[in-house]
Amino acid sequence: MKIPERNDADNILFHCRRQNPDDFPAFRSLIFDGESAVEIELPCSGRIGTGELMQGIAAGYRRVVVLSCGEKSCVHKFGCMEAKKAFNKAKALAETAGIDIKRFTFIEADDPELELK
Amino acid sequence: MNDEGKNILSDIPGACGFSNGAHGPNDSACPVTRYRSEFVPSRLIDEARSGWFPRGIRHCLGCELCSPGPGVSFPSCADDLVLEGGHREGYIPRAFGGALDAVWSLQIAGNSRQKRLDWITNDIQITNENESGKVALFVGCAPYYDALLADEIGFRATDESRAAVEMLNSVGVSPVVLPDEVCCGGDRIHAGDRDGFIALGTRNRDLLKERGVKTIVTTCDDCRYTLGNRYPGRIPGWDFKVIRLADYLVERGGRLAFMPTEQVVAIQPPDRYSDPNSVESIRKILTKIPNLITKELEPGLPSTFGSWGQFDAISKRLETDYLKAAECTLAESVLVPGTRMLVRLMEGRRPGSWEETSIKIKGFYGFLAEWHTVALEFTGA
Repeated sequence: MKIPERNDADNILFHCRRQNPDDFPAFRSLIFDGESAVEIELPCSGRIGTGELMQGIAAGYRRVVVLSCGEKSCVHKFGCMEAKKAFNKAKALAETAGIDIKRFTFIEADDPELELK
Repeated sequence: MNDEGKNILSDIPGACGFSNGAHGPNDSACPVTRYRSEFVPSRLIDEARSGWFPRGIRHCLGCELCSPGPGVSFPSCADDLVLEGGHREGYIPRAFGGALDAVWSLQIAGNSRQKRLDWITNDIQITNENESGKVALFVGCAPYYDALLADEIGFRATDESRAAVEMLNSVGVSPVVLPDEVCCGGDRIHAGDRDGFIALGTRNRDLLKERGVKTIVTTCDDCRYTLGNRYPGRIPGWDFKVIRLADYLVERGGRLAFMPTEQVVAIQPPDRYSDPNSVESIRKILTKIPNLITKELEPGLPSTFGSWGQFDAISKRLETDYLKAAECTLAESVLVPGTRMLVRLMEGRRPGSWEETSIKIKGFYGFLAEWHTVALEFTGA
């Protein structure tokens, strides 16, 4: 997957095709604080790799956000778990590289604490 | 083509010692040719002589097994060819799906302070951050391997670095360990990224000069190869002595002693890649461990599996061959003296996987540190 060069957008959002980011207006305003974001739709959030997340940071995006289905609601069964694994590896790598890990955000769509809808 | 319209590719083999009429590379020794019949070193040289970019030259591991003699190196020729024409292949090999490539980009940008010294504990001594020192330990990408793989393979690459500092301390050296060290750039060459390679090399050079370093010790043969063979001539002002830790320990001699163990271990016999100066340091050091039985793998296996960008089915088969050869020695464990090679083998045979091997894979320096004891005189000879 080629990560688009950062032009005007400040953030990059990878989302499962079953999750529409427009359904989460509050999430959008909370996470991005009104800033623009490049949206990349994935067939399943499990297809995201550590490489893509790290390349998002290397390309200069302020935040890298993954919007995934929940662990129990993923129709592909392991998509969310795979996405989390890649996400945690990217965070560990970024931390070693001296990057602020707050620049990474993972959202599980059916998280009961995520009362943003 | 250069500015004068001359084909540079055709000049590279001659400049690397493969001029017309000279001995070509020894194809029968190439471990890649065994599995990839289209990869024939002498034919690739002929293609380059004709001005073609030799397709598939990126599969060269850099193991030096095919190089015909001193001063003539096929991998060195392959490096030049990839840097000159690698872009023609239309793809860029990536390490871990681009994760490490991104890290290198961040390292080149240099905007953030890396956290790469977490493995240093109070019981080992390194030179303080604001002091200079003559000897540096080049840790390489080990902290990043920890972040990427430690949980899965049950092994921390920085354990080897830690063992290296312990062994250096035992011969009276507190090495400089750079907090901002960057990747050696070997994979950048493989990706044909000359600018990235030079940026990384220049940064390492500046950081090492700042600390007054004269000698660089490595635990990773691939880092040693890049720092010692690829930097000179490409990184201006690179005048450090680069030596692998085993050779350095033998060179320093004295004060190394080990507790007895009745283990049976396997090592790979030295070759031009792992032991360019024929020091045979690994054999010499292991003879100092009382009661240890050392067996050797059959010769002709590569001492490197190439860059991370070459991580494919063929390299996997090479790793399998290596481990099968190690198992054939009936040793309990195989000692691997290179960090990246060790991580590659561990990664391929992670605990619990269906490919789990019967032989234990251990880091050579970790093994030394395990059996090392504070001690008596050791002549090193």
